Amino acid sequence: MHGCLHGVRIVDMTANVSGPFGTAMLGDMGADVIKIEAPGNGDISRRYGMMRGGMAAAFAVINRNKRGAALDLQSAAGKEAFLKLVASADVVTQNFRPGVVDRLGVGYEACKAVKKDIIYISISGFGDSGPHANDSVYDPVIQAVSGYMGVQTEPGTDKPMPIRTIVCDKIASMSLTQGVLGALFARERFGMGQHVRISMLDASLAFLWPDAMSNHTYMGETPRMPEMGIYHLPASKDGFFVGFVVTDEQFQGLCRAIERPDVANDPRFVETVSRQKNQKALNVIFTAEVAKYTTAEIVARFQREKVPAAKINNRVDLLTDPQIAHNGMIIETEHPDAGPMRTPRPPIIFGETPSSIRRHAPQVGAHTEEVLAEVGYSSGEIAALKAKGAFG
Amino acid sequence: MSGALHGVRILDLTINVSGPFATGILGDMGADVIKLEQPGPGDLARRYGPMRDGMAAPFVVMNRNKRGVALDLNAPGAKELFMRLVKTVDIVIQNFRPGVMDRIGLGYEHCRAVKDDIIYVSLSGFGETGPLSADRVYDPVIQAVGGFMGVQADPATGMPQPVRHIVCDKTAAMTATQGMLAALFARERGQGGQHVKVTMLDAGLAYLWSDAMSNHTYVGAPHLPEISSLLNVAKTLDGFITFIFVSDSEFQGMCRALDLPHLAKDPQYAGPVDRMPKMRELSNFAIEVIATLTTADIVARFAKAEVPCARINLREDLVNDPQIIHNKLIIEFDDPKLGKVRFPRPAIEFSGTPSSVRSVAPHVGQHTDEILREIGVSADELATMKSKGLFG
Repeated sequence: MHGCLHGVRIVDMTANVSGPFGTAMLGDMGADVIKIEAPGNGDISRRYGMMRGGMAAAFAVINRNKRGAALDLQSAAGKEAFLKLVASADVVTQNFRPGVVDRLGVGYEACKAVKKDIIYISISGFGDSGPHANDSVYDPVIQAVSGYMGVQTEPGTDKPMPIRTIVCDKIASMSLTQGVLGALFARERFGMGQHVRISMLDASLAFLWPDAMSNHTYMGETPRMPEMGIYHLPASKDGFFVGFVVTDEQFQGLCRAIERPDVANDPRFVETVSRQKNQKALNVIFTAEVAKYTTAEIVARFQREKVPAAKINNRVDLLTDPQIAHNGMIIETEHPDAGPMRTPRPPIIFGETPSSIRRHAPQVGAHTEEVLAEVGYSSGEIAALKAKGAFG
Repeated sequence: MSGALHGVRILDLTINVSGPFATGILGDMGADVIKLEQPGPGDLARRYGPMRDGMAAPFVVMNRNKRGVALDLNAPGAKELFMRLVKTVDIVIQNFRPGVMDRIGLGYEHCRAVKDDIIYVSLSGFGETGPLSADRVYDPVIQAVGGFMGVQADPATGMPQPVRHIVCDKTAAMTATQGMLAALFARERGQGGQHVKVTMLDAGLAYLWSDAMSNHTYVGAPHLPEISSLLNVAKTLDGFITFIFVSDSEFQGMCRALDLPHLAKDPQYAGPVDRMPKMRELSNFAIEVIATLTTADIVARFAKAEVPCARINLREDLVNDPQIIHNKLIIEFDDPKLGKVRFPRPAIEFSGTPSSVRSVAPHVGQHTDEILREIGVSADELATMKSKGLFG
């Protein structure tokens, strides 16, 4: 059985995370993703973080299921080979700075000229124009502008905090995946390709807004409520714990779990809306009670009362968590250059068109000749391209 | 031109965030999303956050573009009516606890019996089986088990910290959106319908892993500082900024901008790989200088030196940010009862099949009569159903 995107070919010029994370998900679904890189060092994220076998660990995870082609898009021969690949493809993705692809002659119009119904995806940091359009962008810059660091400000202080994962790149990437899939479906139904544009800023804000900006959604006079993501993590005797109630039943369960029937009847807490308003006072009581138990004890007490609760896993705990193990979420595999590695399996379980991990992340240009042969270049022609500097 | 999913109809039984956030995105793309709720209070999320006209702000944003049907699934005759609805839709999505839909006769097999190529999506917290599968789940529980709170831990104290927005629900929703889009495409290509399963834990881990678990990806490799150690939040004379230097040119630019020429020449900091273990000390040199400058001054210096940098927007800054204004990212929707509501427009810009926001969220069952008429329920039938209490 094939994945959902069996037979779909993606020519992927993106680097770093905002594009590659998204095209990997499309690869999981069965698409043939051809990663185009500049000859030589290739994607800068190949060298970032933990390295082995000439490849960073994060890169190896994000570039699974891709083949690598090294093309010098500044050379005429490289561009010719690129456009020939595009003519065989369904989707082209790019995350160069605004304007670069048109200058290189590999923009939407150039690709459309060789493949009429091409789906062309552009990801930018801030958008194609505007005051920040030409700024250098990495994830924390978008975290700062789109409000993630502000929202993460530690309660009781004024200091913004970062999210300690590449959250905005990855959100933009998930939007890319959706843009590609939406456009593929529309092409199947309506018969046309199109240019799909996504900025990291737009995607990040759209993701953050509904809950995090709830006090800024209704304009004009509306009484403010405490922010929604102020999760309270009390310390147990031997670690940390999170418990969370929304419904009145869960609140009553919480009071039973910590053996505080007096709190169960406290008018400040009896009902959802008043409980939201008096969250701080409730947290004080909660913290004092949780400190009396070990994490295992307090989690068991909450579970018995059907109140959402959990032990807080650190990185190492993830590797042995019984539910993660039960779900088979972590795959152990052997990269030919980097050696034994762990990677999460594709998270969506399709009943009929299963996703899969079929290939390891390639070295720069590992499949250049293979993919060019597939689109009709003879070995003589490939040698000629090489002589003309198409591969650097 | 209409959206990419024009003509696609979705029957949405999900509540809270993990489902509704997903169907909100599909509604933007033009799908006709029918939100089916129990009569009475309906979706729990209706009451979470600042309220107006009986609707909480996050609910209004996530449930834009949907129509509402109220149906008491336990009432006699409700199942027949439900199946009549199923016959008219492309996708059914639900996030009840595992097993519930099968028990009440509305599971995948039941729906497939009336609509052969139905795409049926089940969202769960931990999965359908396994040690935690029966647990109650809210976002912080998955943040705890899925590693988000551990990864977010304060580097100095090791204390776990929450991500202060509903990140795991929303990540699961983005994943489910991809599952639905891909299944629609596969069906269009002749694969038929299928059951698609997404769990919040799996989606969260797949999202988090690549960068945040990079030290646990290559089995047996010595650990490096986490990639998040590249993140910097620095206090200026009048606010906060973030900055990051990864490449050599950015490092050199940082040294120029802050007048730290001795660092630029120091061989122990030459090259990104050598710098990586020393990022904290390097950043601290920069942070000391930044504390003596204004935000405008330091942002201008970094911009000139091409070092990625930004002022950190707090919640109230977002609507006034020049790039956010330039991108026309925040739309204002004037609803007769809610008054002015603002939230971000759909982030993905399709040139051929534009997404759009056409309405804000419905009240419980607001469109019951309208939708039932559309599927051929006569006025007499409707009256009988009403008298039997199908709609509460």
